[in-house]
Amino acid sequence: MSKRTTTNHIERDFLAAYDAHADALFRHCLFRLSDRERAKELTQETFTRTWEYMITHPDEAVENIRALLYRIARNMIIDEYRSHKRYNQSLDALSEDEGFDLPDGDAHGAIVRGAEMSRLFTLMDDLPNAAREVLALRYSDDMAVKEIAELLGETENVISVRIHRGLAQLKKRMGPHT
Amino acid sequence: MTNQEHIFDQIKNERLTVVEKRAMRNALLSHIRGGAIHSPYSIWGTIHRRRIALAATTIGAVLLGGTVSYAAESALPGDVLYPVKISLNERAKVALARTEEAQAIIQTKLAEERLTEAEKLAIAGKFSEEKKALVEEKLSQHLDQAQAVMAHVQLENEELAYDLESDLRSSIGAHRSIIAAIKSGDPSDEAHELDGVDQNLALRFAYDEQSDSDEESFAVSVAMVDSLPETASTLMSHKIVEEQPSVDVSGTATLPVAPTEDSSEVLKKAQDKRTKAVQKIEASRTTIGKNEAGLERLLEAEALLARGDERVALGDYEGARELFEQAARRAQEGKRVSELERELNIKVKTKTERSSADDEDQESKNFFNFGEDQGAQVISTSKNEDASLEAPSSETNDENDPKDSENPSDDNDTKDRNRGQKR
Repeated sequence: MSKRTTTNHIERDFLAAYDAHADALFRHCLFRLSDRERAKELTQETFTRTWEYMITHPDEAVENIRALLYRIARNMIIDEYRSHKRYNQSLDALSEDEGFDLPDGDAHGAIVRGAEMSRLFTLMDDLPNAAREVLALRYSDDMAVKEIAELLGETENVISVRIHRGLAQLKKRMGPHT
Repeated sequence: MTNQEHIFDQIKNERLTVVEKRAMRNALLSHIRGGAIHSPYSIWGTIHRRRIALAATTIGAVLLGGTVSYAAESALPGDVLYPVKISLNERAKVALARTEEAQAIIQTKLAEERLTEAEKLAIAGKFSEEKKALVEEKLSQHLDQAQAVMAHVQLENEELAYDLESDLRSSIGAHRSIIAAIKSGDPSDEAHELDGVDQNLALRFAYDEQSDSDEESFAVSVAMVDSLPETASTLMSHKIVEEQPSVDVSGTATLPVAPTEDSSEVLKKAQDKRTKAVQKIEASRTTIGKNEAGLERLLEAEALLARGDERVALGDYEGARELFEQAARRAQEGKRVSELERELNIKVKTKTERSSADDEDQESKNFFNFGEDQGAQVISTSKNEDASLEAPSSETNDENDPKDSENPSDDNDTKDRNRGQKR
C-alpha cells in the first residue's frame, strides 16, 4: 500500500471515530470541568492528539479507539485540574451568562437546562476528582463497570465501591428532602 | 434509579450542537490535511497573551457558528452590519479571553468601542437618542463586567488589578477629553446627547480625594511647565530614565525620619510605582509622537514624576507613591488621547490655547471630576468644512444655542434640518 492510501485509511477511521464519539467525549469533559467552552476545547484537543497517535502508529490497528480517546482526555483533565482549578471555578461565576447561551436558538430550553446544569455542577464541584470521574463515566458515558475498570486500570470491585461512595456523597449534598 | 442517579439524566442531553460539531470536524480536517489554520480550541494552553491574533478571532467566530465579517468591524449603531459586529465578532473575542486578565482587558476594549462609536456618530451628526440608549446600555454592561472581573482579580493579585483599573481610568479620561472637544465645538443635539454619557462616566469614576490632589499637583506643575524647555523636539529627546534624582532615595541619615520596617516597605512600593511610571512614560512617548494633546499630558506626567521625587526626598513616601501612580495614568491617558485624535480626526485643545478661552469653557469644567482636562475645543474636524466652526469659542454663542432650547424629543428631521443650517 502506498503511503497516501494508508493515510486515507487512517483518516477515514479517525473521522468515523469522531462522528461516533465526539458528543460523548464532549459530555464527559463538560461533566468534569463545568465549563462548556473549556469542554469544547479539550474535546478538540483530544481528537487532535488522537490523530497524532494514529499517524505515528500506523501499523497499530487501534482496537478500542474509545478507550484511547478517554485516556487522552482524562490526562488532559488531570492537567487542567492541576493548573487551573481555582481559575475554572471563578470563570464559572463570571461566565454564567455566556456559558449556556446555545447558538441554535433554543432560548427557553437553554435557560432551563442552564439552571439545572448549574445545580448539577455545583453539586459535582465539591466531589473529589476520582468520584467525579467514575460517576461521569458511569452515568454520562453509560460505561459498564467492567469497561470503566479496564479504562482506569483498576479492579471492578474498586470501581463499584468508588461509584457507591460518590453517590452517597452526592446524596448528602443534595440535602435531606431529596 | 435513585434520586442521585436521576440528576445525571440532565447531562445526558448535553451535546455539541450540529453547528459546533461540524465546525470542530472541519477544523480537525484542516489540521489533518496540513492546512495552516489552527483553531483556537487547539491552542487552549497558550491563549494568555493580550494580543489576540486576527486569525484566531476569525476562526473562533467561524467555529461559534457563522462567518465573521471584516466589514462589520467598523460598523456603527444603525448600520446593517452592526448586529454582526456585536453578536458575532465581539462574542468571538470574549470567548477567546481565557484568563481573568484577558477578560478585564476585552471588556475594557469593548466599553471603549462603544464610546468611540458614540463619538463617531456625534461627529457625523447621527447620534440620536435611540442610539444613545443602545450605546449606554452596552457601555454599562461592559464597564460592570470589567469592574467585576477586576474586583475578583484583586483578591489574588492586587498589583495586576491596580494596573488594569489604572488603564481603564486612563482610557475613560481620554474619551472624556474627546467628548468635551466634540461638545464644545459642535453644540448640536447629537453632541448634546454625549452629555448624558459623559455624566455617567463621571459618576462611575468619580474620586473626590483624587481630584483634590490633582488640582494641587496641577498648580505646581503649571509652574514647572513654564520652567521646562517647551519645544516638541526637546520634549522628545528628554529622557526620563537618564535623570537621577538629586537626592539618594535609598534611605540615608539625611532623612528626617529613621526608616522603620513600615516606611521602608512604603518606600519600596513608591520605587516600584516610579519604575512603572517611567515605563509608561517611555511606552507612551513612541505612540504619541508629535501629537500635541498627548505631549501635553506626557509633560504633565513627567512633572508629576519630578514632584514624586521631591516627596521621596522629604520622606513622604506615601505622597510620592500617589504622585508616581498619577504620573503613570497621565502618560497612559496621553497615549490614548493621541490615538483617539488620530482615529476620529479631531483635536483636543491644549492648555495654553484654553487659557485664552471664554466663559463657556468654565461651564464644561463642572463636568470634570477628574480635575484633569478642563474643557477643550474642536479646532478642526474632517467632516466640517464650514469656516464658522473653526473660529474661537465666542462665535458658538450664535443662533444655535443648544442646551436649553432644544427639546430632546424632537424627531430626527428637525435635528437634521438644524444640522443642515449649521453646515
